[in-house]
Amino acid sequence: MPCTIKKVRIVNFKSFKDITVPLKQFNVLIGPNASGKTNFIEFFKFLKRALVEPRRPYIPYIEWWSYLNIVRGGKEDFPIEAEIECKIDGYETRYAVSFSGIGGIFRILHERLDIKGFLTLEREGQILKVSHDKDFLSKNANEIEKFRPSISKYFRVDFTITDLSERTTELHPDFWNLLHLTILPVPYFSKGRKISCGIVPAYKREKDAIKHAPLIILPTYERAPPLTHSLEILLNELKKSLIGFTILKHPSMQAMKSPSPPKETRVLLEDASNLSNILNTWFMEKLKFPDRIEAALSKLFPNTQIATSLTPQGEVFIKVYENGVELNPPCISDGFYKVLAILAAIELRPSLLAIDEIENSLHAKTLEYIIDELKSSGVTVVLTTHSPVVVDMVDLEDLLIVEKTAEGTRLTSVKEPEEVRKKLKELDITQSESWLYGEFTE
Amino acid sequence: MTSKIMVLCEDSYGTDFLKELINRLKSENIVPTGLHVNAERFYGPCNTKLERQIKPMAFQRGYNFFIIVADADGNPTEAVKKKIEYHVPNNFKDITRFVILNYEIEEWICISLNIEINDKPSNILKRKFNYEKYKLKGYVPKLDFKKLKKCRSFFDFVKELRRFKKE
Repeated sequence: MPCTIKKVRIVNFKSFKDITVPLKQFNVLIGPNASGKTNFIEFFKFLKRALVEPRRPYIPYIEWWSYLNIVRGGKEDFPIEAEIECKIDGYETRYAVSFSGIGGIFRILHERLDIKGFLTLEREGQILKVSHDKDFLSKNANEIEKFRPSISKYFRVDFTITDLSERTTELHPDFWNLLHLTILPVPYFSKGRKISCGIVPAYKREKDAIKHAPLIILPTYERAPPLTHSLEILLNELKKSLIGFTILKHPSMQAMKSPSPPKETRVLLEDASNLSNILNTWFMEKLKFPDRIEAALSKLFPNTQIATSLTPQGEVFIKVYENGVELNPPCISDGFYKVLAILAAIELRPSLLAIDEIENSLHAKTLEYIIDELKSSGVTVVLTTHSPVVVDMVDLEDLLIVEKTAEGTRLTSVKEPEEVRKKLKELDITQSESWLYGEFTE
Repeated sequence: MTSKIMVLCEDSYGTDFLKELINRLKSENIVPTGLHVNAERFYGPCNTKLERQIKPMAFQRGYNFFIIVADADGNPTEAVKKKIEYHVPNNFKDITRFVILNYEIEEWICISLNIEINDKPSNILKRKFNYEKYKLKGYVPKLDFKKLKKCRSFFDFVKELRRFKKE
């Protein structure tokens, strides 16, 4: 049940004032230096740090040194807001969150999760409001009633169908965010059950709080285990999606070529410094490298095989055999490592793969292959580039033009691409020529 | 003058697949074994870069016949052909032929394996065989030329290669 991101909204993050960007499967950001392309990629990294990477103390902006370095204009009193619209197994889901860094304390101010046509969870501080769609409740009133005996017996919760449309509860003071909400499933063992019913446990153990604890009703997932609430599955998918954001920002050739202590891993680091361990993990598991990597190498670097090997000190490194001749890391080209890093990133099936300046170290023909790999991978891809070659080889519809304006960074797609194509033909110029010396959006 | 044929298709997987297919067609004597054919990628059906690719291929590398293989993705094939033809330089139109696939090249695999095409062929193969684009070339041995005789795009492709039979 993969989660596909359809749209993101960014408010007050770095150079963005307030932008909404629809995402397709393949997105290529083009624009001058310092226009905000990398900021767009870093937004995904920030969300991952802030929402799914537990750290104590909670300082998800630490790699940017200070909150002032990630909030627009360095203004501490601006909240950073983010919104993600996605489709999870057919459910139109929207998650919105705002953060504050006032007084050097980073915290979540407000969160809202909408599952269109079914449910809204809204949290402000410690207060959680759970609302259901009234039509959905009335259509399923009989089904909900079937849960009443268990709800009363095991949870001592009272309810009427009408008051389920909006209920509030107090959350634990240490509650982090809605993606980690605990839902106690109400047991009801029947093959034909159409809905999944759960309870948000009241933090305060007073009788009244327990009695009015919010119920959470959603349609049942056929494949879900009996004691797993549908919302738990949806939240897990959303969490997995955020955890799966993978960013490749200038892979470090030096680090990729250096032997590193062996470690089983399936998460590629931003500088790809753990590439040898990723490859080694695959090889140890299946005694071969993924077919995608083998196929690409045979096409792009004929008569070349890779292997992972150990130094006398027991550290892992990548070795290459070209026509049977052994090549050690200092003799292997940077492009070879870059190709390996990108293919490994695809093979790890991230929910979103963002690559900054994809063209670095790659020949145009290699880029063709890599772009084809990314386009056909099914993974949501966000690339930034300064390369006219990349601009020419993608569709106009894939391009997002990044500009820095007085209102912050703006991302726009090419308007009326069919008309632009006709115009390009008429003028006998290429896409990249139009981008560099003309105006796509004119 | 010996013919040098350049087959242009929309992605890198297609080029490898077509090169492999041409080798098989040669080995089964369906097209002349001595035929000089190469395959490379072009950038989509409506891109001014096509003209800039064709010219150096002809003037600097000596290719004198072009076959453009393109996906219609369920759209009318004639319309797709016109879109691409628009970007072929005028003095190359006589030496350029088009093979337009109803959806995409994977339809040749579906036809060969008696799979009903009720979706994008690559999606069907993905569901049935865990297919990924990089595996395309590996399907060449599975192509059934007898079944593909009735497939318009395959027929056109082979016909364009066979026109050089007497060389």
